[in-house]
Amino acid sequence: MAKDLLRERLAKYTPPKERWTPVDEALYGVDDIYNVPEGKAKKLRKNAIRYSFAHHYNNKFYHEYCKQNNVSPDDIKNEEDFKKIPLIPSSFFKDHPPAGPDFIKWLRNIYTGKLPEIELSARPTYDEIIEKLEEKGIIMTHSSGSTGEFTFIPRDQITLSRLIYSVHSTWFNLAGIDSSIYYISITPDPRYNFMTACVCQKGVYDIFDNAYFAIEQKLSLQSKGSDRYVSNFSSIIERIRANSQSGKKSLVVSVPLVIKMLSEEIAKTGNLILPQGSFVLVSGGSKDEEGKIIKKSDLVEDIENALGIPPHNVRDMYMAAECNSLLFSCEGGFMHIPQTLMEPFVLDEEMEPLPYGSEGRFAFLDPTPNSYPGFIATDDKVKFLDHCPVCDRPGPVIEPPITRMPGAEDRGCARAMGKLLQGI
Amino acid sequence: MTTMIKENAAVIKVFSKFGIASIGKILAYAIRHPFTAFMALLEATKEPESEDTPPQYDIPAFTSEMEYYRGDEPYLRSTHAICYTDPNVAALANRLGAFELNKEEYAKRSFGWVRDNIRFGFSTAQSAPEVLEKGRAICFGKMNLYAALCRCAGIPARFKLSTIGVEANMINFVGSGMEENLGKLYSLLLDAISSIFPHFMLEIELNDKWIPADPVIPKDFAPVLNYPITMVGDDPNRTWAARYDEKYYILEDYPILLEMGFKVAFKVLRNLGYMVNRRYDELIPKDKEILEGAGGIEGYNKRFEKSYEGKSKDLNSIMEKLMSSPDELGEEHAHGKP
Repeated sequence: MAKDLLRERLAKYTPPKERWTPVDEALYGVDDIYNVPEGKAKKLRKNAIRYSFAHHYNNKFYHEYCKQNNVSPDDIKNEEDFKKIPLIPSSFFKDHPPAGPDFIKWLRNIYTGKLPEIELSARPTYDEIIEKLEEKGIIMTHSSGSTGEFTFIPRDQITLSRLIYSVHSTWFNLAGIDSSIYYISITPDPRYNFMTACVCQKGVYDIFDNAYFAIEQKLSLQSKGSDRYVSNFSSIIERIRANSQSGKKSLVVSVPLVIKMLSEEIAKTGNLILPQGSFVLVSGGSKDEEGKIIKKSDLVEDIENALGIPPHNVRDMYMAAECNSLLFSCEGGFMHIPQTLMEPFVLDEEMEPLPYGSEGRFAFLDPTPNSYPGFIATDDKVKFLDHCPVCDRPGPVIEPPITRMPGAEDRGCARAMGKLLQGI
Repeated sequence: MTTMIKENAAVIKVFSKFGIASIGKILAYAIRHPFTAFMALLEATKEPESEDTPPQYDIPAFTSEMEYYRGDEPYLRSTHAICYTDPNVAALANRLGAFELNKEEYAKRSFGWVRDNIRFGFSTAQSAPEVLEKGRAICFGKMNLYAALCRCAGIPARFKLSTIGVEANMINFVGSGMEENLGKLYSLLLDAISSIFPHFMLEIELNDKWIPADPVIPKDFAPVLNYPITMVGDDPNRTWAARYDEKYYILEDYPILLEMGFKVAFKVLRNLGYMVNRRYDELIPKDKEILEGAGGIEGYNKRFEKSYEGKSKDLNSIMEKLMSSPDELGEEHAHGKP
């Protein structure tokens, strides 16, 4: 896809240039957020983060947190000062009251700006709150860990547009995926479902000529064991088979467990060879139904056997629920960080940054969220390198695998997705 | 008498708040999985492999020259559970400096003693003298002993009865080390009550101010679970408890209903209690290693403050303040100039 065509198709997610803030400059103002000369990237990143910090300094809870840490926007002048920016443990967004008036109050406190007023029933459910906020332009993205507790992040239209633009331009820039590819996502449809993994696919209907989702229904957060959803899993296999026969490139997106299930299912009825330029993108927890780790090398081998997609076209995406940008693996499997936007850290036990080559807790300053502060210490354990050992794109990378910190809850989305598809 | 009735009524109110739903969940599980429930119950109620280990301290002998507070004011008098007229309790208070140190120093010293010498765990010991004799107690028992030591020295002590959430790492860690059916029962009990427990927050009055004093988690138990070591004045919400219910009842004494309830429960579920205690005790060497590595309690607590868990606690405290303030609070902030 030509760059201009990408911009044209993503136009609805791009604000007019005269309204650009330093954050927008860093995102929309460059051709490829992963490949900008270091000096320029540094300047864009610095301006974006400084702007974002000053913006979120007005957020209620974050303002108090900054005061407690004796940090104000005046203290953040250059990149060396970034480590002073107070980081929010990701578990914070999981510790909310149950659906009800207190939950709305909690949202008001974590939301930067004024949360739109909504009218709720006497005993509202999460579904009702999500629906009412959506009517007011707020998308309540959510994800759940293995305990089933939800993380909620309110994203306004600015935040959402930046997320969609950043994700889709990443696919184009880092993988060269073009609009003619047949987009097949074995996830719920992002038009009706706001799991973080779904929401970041919200732009696919605008970008790809053909986009297809496994579950087109709206899923309930109050889902009971007896709920049944109609899945297109079997027809997806047929679609992939048809694409293989007609020579149409396919882009298959899901969690590792589902991709494993897909590969096994296809292998039962005869392996396929998808045309060159086909991709598999995986994201989310890497455990199977029994809690065992699905090894990347095994998964890549299964995909190559079942779909004929070579290992360098099996890409990982990392996106924490609180993150509004995407970390995406290059052809060598190293996770690249959007260079003009995000300041990454690897932290020791006392939350102090470690040098390159160290392993520790992953944290980042993401300036792209407008409705919540994107300065997050995650529950993920990573190893950080100052440059990619495989490709020549500038900036630091994360060496796979990304694991969980000791004591942290497992990501639950992959298993939830697997169950959804199996129960169908 | 009226106070006793009121305090026991408060217990009924707080317990019934979560009790009915919890019992319903347990019964529902037992109906769905009768065999597992039966096996777990057999396992939990059988005779434990061995007796609980005795305390590692000597109880000093009471002598006639030892003192104890002799007034009869509320929050200062000796009661059936907070019983400092018991010679052992009074002797311990004297040995810890009840009438030699100033009140603040004594409160800190006796707090550290109860926190670290009385092991946390399931025990039928409830009143201060029983707890001192056995050397192990759940939260209520430990607080009874500490309240008795304070009152004995003329420091007022009272309870705030409420409910708390206990963080998942404590529950999971203990449950993970258990034999299969017992582990299921343990998880079931905890799942049934949704990790919400009735709990006291002990407060003592120092310098005309009531402050929290929660000696529940010993220093040899906190580090592995990523808790800071609790000190006098620390709100348990900043240490090991997840959240306090805003509604609470002030109590002077340990209500007899609680005492009887826990005595019966721990008597019946004696093997479950033994297994839980054994799991707690397994933590001690690892905890000691972490504490030594951090240079003791002070070093460890400083490190905790900077950690991910410490920052999470900071944010929880901030959110609690914001949540208990009128909704408009903070909307006027306009300090950042993007």
